[in-house]
Amino acid sequence: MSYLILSQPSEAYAEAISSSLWALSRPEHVRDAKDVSQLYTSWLVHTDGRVALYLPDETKHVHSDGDVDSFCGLIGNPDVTITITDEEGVESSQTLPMDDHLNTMRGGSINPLALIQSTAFTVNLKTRTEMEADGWFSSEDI
Amino acid sequence: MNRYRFRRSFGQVQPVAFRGARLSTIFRGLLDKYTGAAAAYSLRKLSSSISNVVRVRRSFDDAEQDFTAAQVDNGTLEAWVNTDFTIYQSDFSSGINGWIGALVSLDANQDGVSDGTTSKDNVLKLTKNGDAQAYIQRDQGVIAGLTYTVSGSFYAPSSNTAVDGILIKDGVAGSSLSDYPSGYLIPTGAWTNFSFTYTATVSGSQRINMGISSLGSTPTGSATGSAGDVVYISDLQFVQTTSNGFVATWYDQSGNGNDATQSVAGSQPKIVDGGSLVAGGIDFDGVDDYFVSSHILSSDDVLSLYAVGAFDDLTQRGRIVGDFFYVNDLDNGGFTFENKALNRLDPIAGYGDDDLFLQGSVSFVTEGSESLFELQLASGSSRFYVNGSNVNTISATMNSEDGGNVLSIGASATGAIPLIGQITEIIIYNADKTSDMANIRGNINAHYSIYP
Repeated sequence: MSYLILSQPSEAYAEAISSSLWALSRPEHVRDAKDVSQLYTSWLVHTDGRVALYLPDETKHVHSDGDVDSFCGLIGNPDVTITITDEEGVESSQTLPMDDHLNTMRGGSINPLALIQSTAFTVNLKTRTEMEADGWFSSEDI
Repeated sequence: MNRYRFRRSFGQVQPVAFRGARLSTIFRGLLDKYTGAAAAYSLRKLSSSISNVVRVRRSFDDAEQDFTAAQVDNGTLEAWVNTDFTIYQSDFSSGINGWIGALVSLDANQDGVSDGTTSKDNVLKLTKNGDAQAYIQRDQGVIAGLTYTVSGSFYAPSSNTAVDGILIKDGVAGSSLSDYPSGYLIPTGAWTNFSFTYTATVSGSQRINMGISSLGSTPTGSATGSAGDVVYISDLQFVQTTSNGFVATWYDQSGNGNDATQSVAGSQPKIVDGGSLVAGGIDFDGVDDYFVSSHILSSDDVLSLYAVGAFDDLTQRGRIVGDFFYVNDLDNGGFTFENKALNRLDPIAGYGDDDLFLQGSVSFVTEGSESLFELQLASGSSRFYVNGSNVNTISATMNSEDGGNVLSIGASATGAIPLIGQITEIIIYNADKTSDMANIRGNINAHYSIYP
């Protein structure tokens, strides 16, 4: 499990990103009025004010009408580099703006964690162990 | 009028009256007999006045739907979650559709590709660039543990030197033929349709190799002279035939409207895993799965709590249920029931700012096994039961002091103390129900067969 330390230490920003990730798979016009689900993932707030988004290692459907612009706009539409290496070590890669990549994935799926790992934001990804060591998890006690 | 009355077992439908040729039935659930619950959650029907017990989101399209207890039991929920869903339908009319290749050139929108009899348009052409293995790769959103039917149409011209078909891989790793659930797909010198079904063992991308059947059990090998061989692919489709289901709302059956909800999709616990109903209730992942409900306690409430659940990891602290606020050890209120794990090595029930808590040794529970936990907090005596056995008693009244905060299930109200395990049922009375506890306990155990 991984957490993305956000550049803006704001819960509102975290909620906006979570909401925009949700809109990739469940755009407004296909939602039902009774839908309970409104956000993709949760976030943590450090006692020093930093905010981190939890990114599970899972694939997520991208609706054919998914709102690519909102998500990419919120995070600055970084370049995405996709690299594959075969058993002989032959490497192929593509680098393109995230919105272009997501537009090609409409109707398919993405792994949001892998997507962030393929951008310059990968340096802001932390493991659970790293987060624990950095004091992100406090627990109420009795 | 003839009237027949059968022995009743609460929680079951029983015929009770016979009028001529008309047989009517009446349902009496646990909450109909033992009234006054503040909140109650279960996948079984506990009350005659309640229809839906759970609202479920299915993973493939995130649609949600309500289900009754009968629909949970009779397969309706599973069938809805497992509705066939096309996760990928190729469209090579304007591009290569996100596929990338290794040792292969890709050309989309190939029209008039004919085998002499059949001609297809909007086809993807793969041209091998060397003698080593060549493949294309794309992430269709395949999820490990789920089942897929893959179909399409392809053509390998007889003019090829070595390539005579394709193979489709479960993921991207491995060099054995067993890594390819499709096996060698070999056309008969003409456009050929294919279809196969497999359960994915890895999530993410799949590879399609240009197949050379003469390579046998090692299809990633090299074939001299195969550079320049071509394969055409059309109408490629991945259909997901099983899925996962998550609980967005666990409906309160008490009639008080204290529904437990989770609006963050990633924090919703699982009810259908890989197409099958989770055994033992609703599964919490121990990371961020939990529900929140309403504030159900008043100041100085006593409590009668029944919880059926299992701890999958007794070394991790995890909360089954609580309505609790905490400032410090002398300023808190409400209740919690949780496994304290490494903190105290005890399942524990805490209640109020008198710093009173009931403990029971971890030896009373078996990791991964369902147990019935009870807190009976009444005037003058507070007791903790596990599977019908009284494991601790405090000869003092424990009450909620200043009340709680928000009822949460599977973690604290902020998501801290996440449970690794399952919860099947929670019934909470903010009243002294010790006079009924044996009957309520008996009803629950009769339904779930938790202990002898």
